[in-house]
Amino acid sequence: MKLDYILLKNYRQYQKEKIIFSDPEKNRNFTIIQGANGTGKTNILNAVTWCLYGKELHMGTKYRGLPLVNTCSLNHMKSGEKCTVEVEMQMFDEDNQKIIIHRKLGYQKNEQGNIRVVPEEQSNCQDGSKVEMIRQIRGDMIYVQDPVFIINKMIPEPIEGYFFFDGEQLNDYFKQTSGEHIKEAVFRISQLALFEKLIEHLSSRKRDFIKTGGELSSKAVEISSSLETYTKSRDQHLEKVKEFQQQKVDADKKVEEYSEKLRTGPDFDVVKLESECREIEKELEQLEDELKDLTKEKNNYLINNAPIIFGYKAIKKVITEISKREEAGDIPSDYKRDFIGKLLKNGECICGADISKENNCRKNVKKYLESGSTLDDLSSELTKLFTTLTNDSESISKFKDQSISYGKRITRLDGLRKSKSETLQKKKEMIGESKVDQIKLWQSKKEEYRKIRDDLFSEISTSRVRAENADHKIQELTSKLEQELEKEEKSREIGKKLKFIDHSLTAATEIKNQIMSDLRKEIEKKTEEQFFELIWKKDTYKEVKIDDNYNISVMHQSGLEGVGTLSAGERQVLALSFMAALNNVSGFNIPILIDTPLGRISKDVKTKIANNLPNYLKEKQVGLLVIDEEYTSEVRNKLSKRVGKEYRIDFKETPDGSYSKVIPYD
Amino acid sequence: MPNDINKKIIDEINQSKFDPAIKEFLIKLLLFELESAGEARWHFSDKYDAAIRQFSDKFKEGVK
Repeated sequence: MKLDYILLKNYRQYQKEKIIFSDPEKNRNFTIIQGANGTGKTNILNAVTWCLYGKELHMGTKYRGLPLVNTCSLNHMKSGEKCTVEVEMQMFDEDNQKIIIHRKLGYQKNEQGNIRVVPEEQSNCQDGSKVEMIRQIRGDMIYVQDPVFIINKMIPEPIEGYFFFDGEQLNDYFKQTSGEHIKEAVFRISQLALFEKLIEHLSSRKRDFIKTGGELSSKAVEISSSLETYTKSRDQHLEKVKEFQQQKVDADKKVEEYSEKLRTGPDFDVVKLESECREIEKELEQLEDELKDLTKEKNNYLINNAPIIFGYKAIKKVITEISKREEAGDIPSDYKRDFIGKLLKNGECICGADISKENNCRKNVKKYLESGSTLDDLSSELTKLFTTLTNDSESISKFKDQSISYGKRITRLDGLRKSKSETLQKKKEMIGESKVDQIKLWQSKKEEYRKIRDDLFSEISTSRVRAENADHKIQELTSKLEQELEKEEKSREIGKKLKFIDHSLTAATEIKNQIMSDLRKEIEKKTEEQFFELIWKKDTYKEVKIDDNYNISVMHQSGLEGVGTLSAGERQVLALSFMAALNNVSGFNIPILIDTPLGRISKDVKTKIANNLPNYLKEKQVGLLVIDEEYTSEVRNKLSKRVGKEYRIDFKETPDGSYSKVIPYD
Repeated sequence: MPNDINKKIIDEINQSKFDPAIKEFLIKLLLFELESAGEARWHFSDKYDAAIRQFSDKFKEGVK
């Protein structure tokens, strides 16, 4: 869908202005509207949301509560006269058919000079305004019967903020927004929330089916009651896991924040010590991993060799016995009895003699069969076994050395870990002894949050295990209930439905998890792509990561991570990239309008981001509402190939009020 | 309405290993949810129960 124009009549700063947008198909997908603060840039965003939903969703405190009507138009109104505020948007859908959305609201001045809203006839909005929608269907323009519903299907209100947004607020997006909120945003924009609702509603039907089954046997009632208790318990533990995970992420951020303060603080010694601590922490993390892997390897070795160790005496005896038989010439046997059996069955000896009848030849061959023993039959197996057991026996001779080697390596790593931990502790104590009070406070805060984080880690594991246990019990009880319902004819129908709901819930959960995982990977990939398009320090960073809880990290080349270490400009770039990624995966092809895209960041950094802006949102129709500092001549030159329409907002203040004109750039 | 993500959801359901009755049932429930998205309160129970009745009969027991 592309935006053709926005028409503003008597709306806020605008008396009558038409803003035509650039056609993205001509590869010039950017429309620039430049204006100083207060001239009405943000109110273009508000005009869009008012036109669509009857709400000004980007309203700052300055205009809140003030009537929509332009002050000049208002002052020119005579007593009893009516003035209508109108916003009209013309768009083209995927088939290049026109869609016109038009909203209006009347105001009237009374004799005392006060104004009041005159609700529109057949108003379909709380503020008294009326929205109309006209769609082109081939050659005809047709009035849409339920415009409010259709508009919400086209551009759902809950996700408008990911298409029409304010860059000034983006800078704090990852600072203030937890992973849980980001996950929610992804759910909302991807409509995966529908799946969550489906699971919630289906689970609720399952509970009701069990509860209201008045025809259930007493045994079934008993099982269903336990089922309910375990379900509640599992849900509570899962809720706790979520809560603790978020708290852990917050604690992580705090640890990082105080560490950053210490590394850049006023005490040079502390700056040095903190950097060293960070290095040691990284080494410790690696050591812990190595230790864990080595211990696992040792345990596997012990487990794999345990049967041989326990059976060592028996193995030795078998080897001796087989050797003895070999020496005696019993093994390998001269012939195989089953081979002789086959010759007799086929009636032909290996020399070609006929042994199909009871002749002398057949009798001689039969003697071989009768004189053989079971040992002959097992001869080849025993030979194989001898080789295997000899190998096992030899490997056992290395067991002692190998175990000692594992022990030594583990002790060495553990020693190294202890010594690093002690050094780290000492350095931390030295930081804590700093003469600067602020440093002491930061250090103690950092350690406080680290402890909270470590405690949360074990809380998460405990709650997770408890939820898993409850889940096993639920599965067991559900199956018992289904069996119980099967027993009686009258409850068989409920049992059948319950089984179906259960299978459907499993299917819904698995499919949802699969989509979630795909979606997260896609957003991660797209955010990273956009981040590297926009960022000016391309060699400083390695990758952008989004974990299962939607916590976003930018990995430095050094391997360090954390959004907390990014500068304001880098955070702005990350937020812009994330918004673009959300847009991309949403499936909604809606134009994007960004107010002050570069936000409140330093001029130097603004220029750096702006230099890379031509690479941003290549496939989308983008409207940028920029202030003068953002749209310097340098930036304008850089963007020129992508800009199709360019305007300046000219703000006039007169004794009758103020108004803005949107003028094409010279 | 253009909306790839819904298509993604539908595709993922269709490509899954589950019984056709379950797939059809889930798509039907999603459509209920889509139709009523944004409604402050909607009564899902009746619609859900009707769908459960309809599709549990088609469901082949033992086929996951």
